[in-house]
Amino acid sequence: MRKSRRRFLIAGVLLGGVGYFGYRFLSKRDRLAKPAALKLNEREHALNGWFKITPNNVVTVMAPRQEMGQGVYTALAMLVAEELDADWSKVKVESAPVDKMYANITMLTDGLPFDDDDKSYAASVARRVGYSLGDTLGVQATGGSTSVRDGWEPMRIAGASAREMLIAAAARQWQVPASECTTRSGVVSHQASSKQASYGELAGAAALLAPPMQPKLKDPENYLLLGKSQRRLDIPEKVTGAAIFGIDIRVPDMVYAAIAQCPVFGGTLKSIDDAKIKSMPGVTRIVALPNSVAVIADSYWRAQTALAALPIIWDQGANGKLDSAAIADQFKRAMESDKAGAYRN
Amino acid sequence: MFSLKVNGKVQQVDVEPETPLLWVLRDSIGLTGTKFGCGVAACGACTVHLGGMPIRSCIMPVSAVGDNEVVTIEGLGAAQLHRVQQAWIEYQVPQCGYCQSGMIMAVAGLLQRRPNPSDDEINESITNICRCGTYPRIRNAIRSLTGASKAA
Repeated sequence: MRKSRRRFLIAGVLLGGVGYFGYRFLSKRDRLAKPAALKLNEREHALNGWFKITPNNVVTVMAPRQEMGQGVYTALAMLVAEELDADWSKVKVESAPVDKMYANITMLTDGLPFDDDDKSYAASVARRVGYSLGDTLGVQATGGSTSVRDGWEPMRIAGASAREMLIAAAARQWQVPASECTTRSGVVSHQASSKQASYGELAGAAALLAPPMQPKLKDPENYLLLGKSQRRLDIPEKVTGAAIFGIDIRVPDMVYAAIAQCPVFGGTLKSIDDAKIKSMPGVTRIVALPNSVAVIADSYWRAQTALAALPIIWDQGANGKLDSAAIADQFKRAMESDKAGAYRN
Repeated sequence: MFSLKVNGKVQQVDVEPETPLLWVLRDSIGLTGTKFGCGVAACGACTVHLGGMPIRSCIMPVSAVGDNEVVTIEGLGAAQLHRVQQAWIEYQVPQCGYCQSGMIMAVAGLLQRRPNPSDDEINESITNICRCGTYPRIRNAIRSLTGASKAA
């Protein structure tokens, strides 16, 4: 979508949102909760909603954004693992469940009709309202180069907060000051007493503690993972055919639709002769829409085969005779008129 | 009713004879690793092995499969990862990954026929399309398996 149009739409949503939800001040959101939607098996513990951990120290990061080849599963897992001091060789990643705490707020504030360098009062108020509305709406979306920017703070805080909980659990168990404990690669150590325990061993006790809301974050100079190229976590399952894409989703009693749309913008569906395909194998329904038609069957191939056999007559409308020369001519006339404009994206 | 040998297992499927092998694999048998791309044998996302040869399953009618063994991406490395799959991990080839099942099957098929293909032979044989544009990594991964030196 063009940014100008997206901005217009989001500005509209924001204005509506102010009316609906009222203005509220930007507050630190509780993004360290464990949402009910996060399912754990009997071996897994969660110290917050951003990862699960097993007794054998496997950390599974909950990625709230979609992996589309941009490497975001790996990047988001790095954010948690860095501050957690997890054993990177035992870090896995899964798609997060749906919950407000995983909302993409950056996507909403990015859509505001203000430039990033606009420091005006109106822009700052709009950003705060946008943030608040993003929180309220809980839009869990991926796009606009927002994933790492949006995850940067909450996912690092999640790792750091959990790390402090694991240290607290170890310190309590060993009866030593937490300040004397250190962490490295999924292990808490207390040098003076030569004690150490893996995160997996400590997770059960740590999960009972209240998460620190403002944990100490690392100095970037001490980063072990961030800023360094890591091997992608999503690649192994993409070479075995195990990775699940949208087209691979199966639900019980699923049916398949094949769709034909009017080949001309602005055209409409005039008529179909559905008697011709009604009795074809697997066909359950034929749905006529204003500018398209869908054939539903018990398999995609059967739906597509029936659609191909369906006689369809389109009304191509005003654009039916439009060709490349006419479009070029429209552009030329627009450029020559005083209404020609430009937009920044 | 057709009886197919897929990844070493016999499968019975009840479909129209002209149904492409692709949809039989994906929808009847549930092997979704093989992908639908173009439906006209142009892109190669649906590549599987039939009787040891890479074919584009989106235009192969199930009635033409006969007794020939079908191997899909799920079957290629079932016991242990195939060396092409290993090279794909080593060279971090996939980006979105949608075309890579077909790509790997095509390359595995090529290397079985021609263990040391020249660049021209690779170009001629591997006509699969990758929208992410992973071709340079694909070429390097193939070269790592043929002993040819990696491009700079």
